[in-house]
Amino acid sequence: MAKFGGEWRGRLVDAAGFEGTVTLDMRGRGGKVSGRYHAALFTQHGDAGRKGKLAGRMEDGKISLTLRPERDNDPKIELTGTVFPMGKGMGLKGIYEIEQRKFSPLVRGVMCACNDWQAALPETRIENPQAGRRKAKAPR
Amino acid sequence: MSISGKWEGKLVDATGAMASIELNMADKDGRVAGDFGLYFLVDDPGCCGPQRRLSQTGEVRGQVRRDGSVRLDYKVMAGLKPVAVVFEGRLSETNGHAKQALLGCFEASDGQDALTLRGGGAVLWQYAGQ
Repeated sequence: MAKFGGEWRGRLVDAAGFEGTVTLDMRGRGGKVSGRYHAALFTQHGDAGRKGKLAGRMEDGKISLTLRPERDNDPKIELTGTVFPMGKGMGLKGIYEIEQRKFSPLVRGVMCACNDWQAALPETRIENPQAGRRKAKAPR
Repeated sequence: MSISGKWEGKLVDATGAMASIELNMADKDGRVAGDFGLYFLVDDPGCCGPQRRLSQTGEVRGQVRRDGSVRLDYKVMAGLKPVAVVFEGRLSETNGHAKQALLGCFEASDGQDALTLRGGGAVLWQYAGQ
């Protein structure tokens, strides 16, 4: 059985022309999925980050997730897609919708990710966008 | 509801691969015919942004339904073997970015293991005058 839990990394492309990367830290149990997400959206004014909790269901290779933002004025994102075996882990592809379009540059788009980076292409591996933002330790 | 004309867009795959796509399509009575070009985007650390590398060209066939859903069938070559790929998507508004968008997911029916792309999504845009 392919591994579902763990850190998924991937990309999104929106119908409104925006692109970004996503990190989904997911775990599944009894068909229920929960975890956290971080999305970095590339805009003309720099990268815009979105993060929060995710929850949803997975059954027979189909997955539906609700990504709830930490900030009230960020939109909730509904993702509907499929998961499939990929290497020792899994891949995900789906279409997302923005629930509160009023406050978002996003309209709807596609998102895909995987949790086995041995199966991903070496030249296209997506680094964790938060990995480089840890505070450096002060020299002793 | 017509999808005739020139489309260009982005493809993202679960492997992390990105590609740009160009499509020329014509539809009549719901049937679609045309051709496509797929270009992998490879990051260039220099000044010029991602480099386009031509990967595949070919014919595309499909259908556009009254509810705005679209199915496209095309074949890509994995070595010398053609692999059938199905794209299922739908037309969408674009918040002013383009005249219309077509977004959906693709899947290889057989021989997927031999492909660089394992499964993902694509957004295509049709701009004014195209």
